[in-house]
Amino acid sequence: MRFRYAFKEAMSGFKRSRLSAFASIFVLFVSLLSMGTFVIVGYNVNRLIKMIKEKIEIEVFIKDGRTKEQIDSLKKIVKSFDEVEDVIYISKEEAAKIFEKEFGEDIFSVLDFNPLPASFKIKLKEGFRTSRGVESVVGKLRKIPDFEDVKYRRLLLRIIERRFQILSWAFLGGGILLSLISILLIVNTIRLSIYAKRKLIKIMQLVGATRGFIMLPFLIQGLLQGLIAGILSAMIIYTMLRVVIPQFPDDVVSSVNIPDLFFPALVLLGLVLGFVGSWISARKYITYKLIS
Amino acid sequence: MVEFNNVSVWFDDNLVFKDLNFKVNDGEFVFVTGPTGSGKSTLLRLIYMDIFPNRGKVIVGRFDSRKIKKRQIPYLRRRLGIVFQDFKLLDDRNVFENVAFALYVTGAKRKEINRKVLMALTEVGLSHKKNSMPDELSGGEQQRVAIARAIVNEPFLILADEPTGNLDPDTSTEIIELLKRINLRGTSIIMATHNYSIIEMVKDAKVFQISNHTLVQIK
Repeated sequence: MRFRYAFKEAMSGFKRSRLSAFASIFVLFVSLLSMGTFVIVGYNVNRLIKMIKEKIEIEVFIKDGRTKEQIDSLKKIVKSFDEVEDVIYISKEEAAKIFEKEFGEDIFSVLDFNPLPASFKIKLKEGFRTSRGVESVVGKLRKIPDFEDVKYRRLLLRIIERRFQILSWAFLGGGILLSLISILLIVNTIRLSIYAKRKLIKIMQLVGATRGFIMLPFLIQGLLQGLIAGILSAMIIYTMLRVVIPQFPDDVVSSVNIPDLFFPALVLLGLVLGFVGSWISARKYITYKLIS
Repeated sequence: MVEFNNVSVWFDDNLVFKDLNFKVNDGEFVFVTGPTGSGKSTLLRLIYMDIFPNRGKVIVGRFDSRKIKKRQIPYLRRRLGIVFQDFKLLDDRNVFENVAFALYVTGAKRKEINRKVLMALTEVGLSHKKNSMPDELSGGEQQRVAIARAIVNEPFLILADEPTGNLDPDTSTEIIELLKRINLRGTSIIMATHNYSIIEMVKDAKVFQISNHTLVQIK
């Protein structure tokens, strides 16, 4: 009885403040759409960066004339660093083969000796694939006299890191700002509904309705607005990803990934924002006073 | 059952009551009279606890104005029936729904609601108009709907604030007769009015007049 009544009232509240309900659903829809897009873009950029970072390696060249035992113990030392996941040894001969593959010319046809040094390719553990992680390893490598030169792409790493940080902050800030705006709009819609029903509310208080009972229809109204906006934005994003984007031939765009539970989370976010907005409004505008 | 102990009330600098002592026993019919603005409505609001005394205390049944919590007020109001000059009906619902409304909010069952609403409407003589909308009714009929809503929860006390203020003399007499019948079954009634011809219609009522920020019994 109680819930059915509250639901009926919520629906009539919808009808009575149709325009402002529509406006707040629309703004909530737009903000969920933007936040959803932010999340998908952010998630995929993050994925891309991870892929790039996976390829980040340090190359260290070994001075000539080291014995196999010396090289093995060097490899063990490097592998024992906290940051290091794997060390691959490339001998002088292998380096010559790589040279031939990349430049299409046998090095011995140019020179009568092999000038290419033996080297280690060092792969870092996931948490250390940052410019700080790289520099720490490089610092340690430089202290070892058996190594000649260390090569790594410091600049690229720095740029990726900085860009990603700015992007993350922009997404977070934009999302929070849009959420706040949609909450404010819902507060206002519910306030109008409360105003339109002030007589009903006064009579409810007169006959002994509890505050929760009076608030319930307005909370349901806010939840409904959130639900509608959530479902709409999920549908639009789904259509964009499944129907529109695959039309483009570009490989990067068409291989966009969606995080797990993205769509349920989007609808849930709509519900939460709708509830918070209507709760603030109901707490603020449904007063205890019968006669003011 | 209703007791005012040394109650003082003021709004800003405007003194309404000073050290008011007042008591209403079970089953009494009490009139409160006085000129407009003397504090009749304020007295009733103190009873249904829409306002609280600045000093002293008001006791209504088991509720004490100094101890009651805000969330308990609805439960006090369910034990009271309140009737106003302007009826306060909901224009978008019919007679039945207007009366049933007082039971909806208490979470009553549908079957119980149907039974109690029909009883209350029969009591006020409007069961044949249960499907009418308020704007299809005369003023007297609207006030009878409001009274049906006030009694549907079987209150121990009815508070009536100038209930005949908008009605012609014949209709007013009908309303007073109705309230007398309700009072005869044991429900106490406190009515605020400035109309002496109405007061004379209830022979054994107590009559209090507001004067000098307090109540004086004149009958």
